[in-house]
Amino acid sequence: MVVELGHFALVLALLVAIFQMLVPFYGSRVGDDRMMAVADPAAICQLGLLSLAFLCLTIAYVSSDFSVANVVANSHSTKPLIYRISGVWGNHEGSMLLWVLILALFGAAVAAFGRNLPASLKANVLSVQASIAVAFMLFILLTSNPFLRLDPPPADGNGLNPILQDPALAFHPPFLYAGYVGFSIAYSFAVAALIDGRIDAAWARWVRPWTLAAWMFLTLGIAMGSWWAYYELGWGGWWFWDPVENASFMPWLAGTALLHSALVMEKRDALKVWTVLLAILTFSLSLMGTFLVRSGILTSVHAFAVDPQRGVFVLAIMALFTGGGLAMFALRASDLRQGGIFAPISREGSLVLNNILLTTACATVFIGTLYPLALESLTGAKISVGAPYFDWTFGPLMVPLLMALPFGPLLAWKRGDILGAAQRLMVALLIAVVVMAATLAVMQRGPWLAPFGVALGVFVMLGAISEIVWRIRLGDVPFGDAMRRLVNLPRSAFGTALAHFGVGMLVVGVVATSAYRQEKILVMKAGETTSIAGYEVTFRGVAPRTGPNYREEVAMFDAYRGGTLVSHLEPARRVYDMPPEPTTEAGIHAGWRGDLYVVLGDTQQAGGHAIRIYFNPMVRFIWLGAVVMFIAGAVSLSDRRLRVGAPGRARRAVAAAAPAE
Amino acid sequence: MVLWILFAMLAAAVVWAVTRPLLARSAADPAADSELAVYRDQLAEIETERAQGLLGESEAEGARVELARRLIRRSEEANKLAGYGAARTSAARKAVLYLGSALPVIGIAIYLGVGSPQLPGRPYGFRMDVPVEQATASDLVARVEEHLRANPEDGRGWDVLAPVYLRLGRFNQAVDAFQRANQLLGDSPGRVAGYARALIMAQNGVVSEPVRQAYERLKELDPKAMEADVWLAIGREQDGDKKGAEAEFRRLLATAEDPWKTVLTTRLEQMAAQQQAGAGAAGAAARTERAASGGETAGPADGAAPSATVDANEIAALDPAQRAQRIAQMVQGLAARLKENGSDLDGWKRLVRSYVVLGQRNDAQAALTDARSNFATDRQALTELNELAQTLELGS
Repeated sequence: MVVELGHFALVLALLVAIFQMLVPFYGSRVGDDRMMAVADPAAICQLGLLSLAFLCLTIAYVSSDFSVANVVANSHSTKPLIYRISGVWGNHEGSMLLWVLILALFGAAVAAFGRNLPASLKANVLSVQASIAVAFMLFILLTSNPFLRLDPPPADGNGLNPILQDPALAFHPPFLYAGYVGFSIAYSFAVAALIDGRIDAAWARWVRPWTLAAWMFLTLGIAMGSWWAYYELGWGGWWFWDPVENASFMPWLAGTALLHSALVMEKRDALKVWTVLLAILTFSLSLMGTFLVRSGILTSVHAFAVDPQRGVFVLAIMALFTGGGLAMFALRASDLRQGGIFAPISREGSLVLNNILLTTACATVFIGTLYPLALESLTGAKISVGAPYFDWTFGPLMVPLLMALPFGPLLAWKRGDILGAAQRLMVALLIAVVVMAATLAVMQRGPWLAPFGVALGVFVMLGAISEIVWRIRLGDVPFGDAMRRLVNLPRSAFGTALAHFGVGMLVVGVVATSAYRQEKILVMKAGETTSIAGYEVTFRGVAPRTGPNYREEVAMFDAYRGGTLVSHLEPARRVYDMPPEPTTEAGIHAGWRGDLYVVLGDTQQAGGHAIRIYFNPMVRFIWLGAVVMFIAGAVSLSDRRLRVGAPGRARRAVAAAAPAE
Repeated sequence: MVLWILFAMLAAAVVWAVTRPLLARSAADPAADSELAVYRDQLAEIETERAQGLLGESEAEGARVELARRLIRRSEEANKLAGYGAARTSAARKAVLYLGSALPVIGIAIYLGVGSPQLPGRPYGFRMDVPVEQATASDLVARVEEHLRANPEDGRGWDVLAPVYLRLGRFNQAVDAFQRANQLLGDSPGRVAGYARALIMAQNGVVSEPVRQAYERLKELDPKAMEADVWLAIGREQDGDKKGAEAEFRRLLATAEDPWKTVLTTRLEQMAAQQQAGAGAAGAAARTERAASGGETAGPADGAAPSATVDANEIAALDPAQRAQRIAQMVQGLAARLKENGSDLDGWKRLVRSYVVLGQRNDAQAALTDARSNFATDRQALTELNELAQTLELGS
């Protein structure tokens, strides 16, 4: 009964979305405020109905209701509770339901928090948002319905792919989707503005918090996926330039650019046309990510051709919304009035440079991801575009971006003083050079560019601190005054500095772990000891262990440093009961210097086990950097919401409402 | 009935919510000057920045002028639009109202097309409580499995479950269950034999080393067990020791009774046929048959002969024309069964292989395509099918 209730709720949600798509739009055309007002309750209804549908599917999973085909295909009665829940979105049908649920969540948020939006803009935004929902709900009901039943039910399910039975991956999709789908708001705002044919600085101010929220979730979602790949796939890599990863990285790059260009638009009323285009493109890239992952085209072009129904459907959705958005843009962009002018060396100029570099980087990833697919579908030839391509295209674009990054926030709007900015960055630059020399001295081996990369990361981190120091005039004014200025500094300023600091951390982590990683592959017998990166690692032996739905062979290692025990590592090889597939679990000791990472390999004929030991210096900086960026977004958002939600209140409390960037 | 009441409540709530604004009295747009508010806010910001010394006096003045210009332009636009919202469209609104009220009706119609309102939910825990008489076979198996998860040391439970698994064709689980029962309750002839049989089935009729050890153990427990002797001899044949196997078959035939007598006779006839016709044809036929019949015709009755092999032998004994016909029949049967229920991956693989052995490559290709479309969402299955296509050199 529960399942059928969910099914009916989904059908009803589709109808409400159709209603929400048509009525407010018509209302805004004829100027009927009551029809426009339908958008709010419809958006909230849609959220309610989809939550109910999702809840019903979750109940079916948790109670192992094997009369539901989707549960049979992806769950098993012995699976631990958390993976029974995460199993809901661990498969195609359920994940699409999650997709539309998050879409409805964002729509309802606009309805609930967008009280001060102009009525016609809001009606159009929610109408466009509903049209996306309609497309995806039709997709679910016609090709990927999670509520289909089996009669009679089989005894038990087929289980979830063991590689997905993992805490990080359990919560990776919701964050990733929150990011993807969040950009739909920017898209809806852009299309709504094009429908109305007018757009102004206030528009950018309403778009920014939504883009920022989406960007935060996407950042964390990608970081989680990378972290999972690092500890689960068993060889210590954290990014593979795999098409699935690129699919989420492209919207991130475009979204980051959008975030910065919206800033110019809000402050200076400039770059309007470009910002609108970027909003459309960012969501289009999100749709393409969904298409790449959900159509099965990556598994094999062949599988896509055999079951074209799903793939073609998502492709059609993508074409409709990308093409529709761009067509609207072509028709209406000329109506948009161009705004303020600025000198090349200025805050705006630096943000334009940021946009050029980010979008070019996004384009290189786009080509590297799609070219092999296009080639295979045209000629059948299989090529793989891997790290070397991206190292030589993406990498060189990041270097000028990172070098220019600390300068941007120090430049004034309209016309900036680059020498002044350079002076303020002198300390950061000097420290970075010292770090470079120190790295070179300590690490004689390794690529010659690596110390430069580390120094670049440090420069970005210190540049972010320099910005705050400059803003509070530390050193120029008495210390007490500086502290008072620090307290009064708007949260968005902290957000900027923190986010840029996070980027610097990420760069340091990436460069250090790529250039200076140590690796040892050897056969060890119980009692033997080996040394790596200052650790003495002793192999104690192997023992079997039984988990809730798997059996595993656990190797025991003790890691010593300078004679004292620092960690006990237990890498394992697991075989799950259902489906019976093996996975490896790495043993990881995380330290500030880096990670000690041990993987248990096959048992050798001659006795002993194949063991792989890695030392990944500063690898945690990669994910910590991403977390810092997430927090930065939250800090900035806490500032913005206060003011966007209630401009009136902000006017009274002037101290709280200070500049936003 | 409860379901329909819930549906009605849900639908009523939705209709109430989405049509309410249409019935409400028209209110003046409260957000009309919300954009102006943003500009005013920005002006205040400039003032703050200037006060903090972040903006120079002249820069602040410039920014103020620019904002003021935007603000004026915006208020002009707002004034132009003021008359615009006054249009009243009551007829259209009425139509929209009817449309909103009709949503549940359309919803029910669509739902009846896709849903299964007659099917009750069958949560796993709930199935444990169904009275034994009403429970389906799979419910009962599920119940025993549940019990064994809680009490994995219950040897009798495994003993009961193991033959059931074997009969259901869940060979790997049968192997595991027999093994546990043997460990917990000690070896018994029945269980050791069951273990060996499950293992043979799980490995498509190959007498592997563990099978051999199990049958050796069976002979220790029950020296008269003909099954062990027969399978050990078949194992010798599979290992290539044709002469030794033949001698062993003949020795056993002297004392054998049915069903083993038939097995041994057909086995010997087949070996003779093989020698005559050359290993090629008969071997291919036997392979086809094994490929085609495999698990599902091999429903192992207790103490019964290993039927997969018997069938193969029967077929081998037929004359070539009859043999071809018989094989074609079996392949057709398999194809028909898969057409009805396409979820049997092994079945599909057998079918493709059979077509290839029969030389019908086009049919094999077609079957492969069908199989792929059946498993389009199952990466694992697709990989296996691709591997099969590669080994059989079928284009993909």
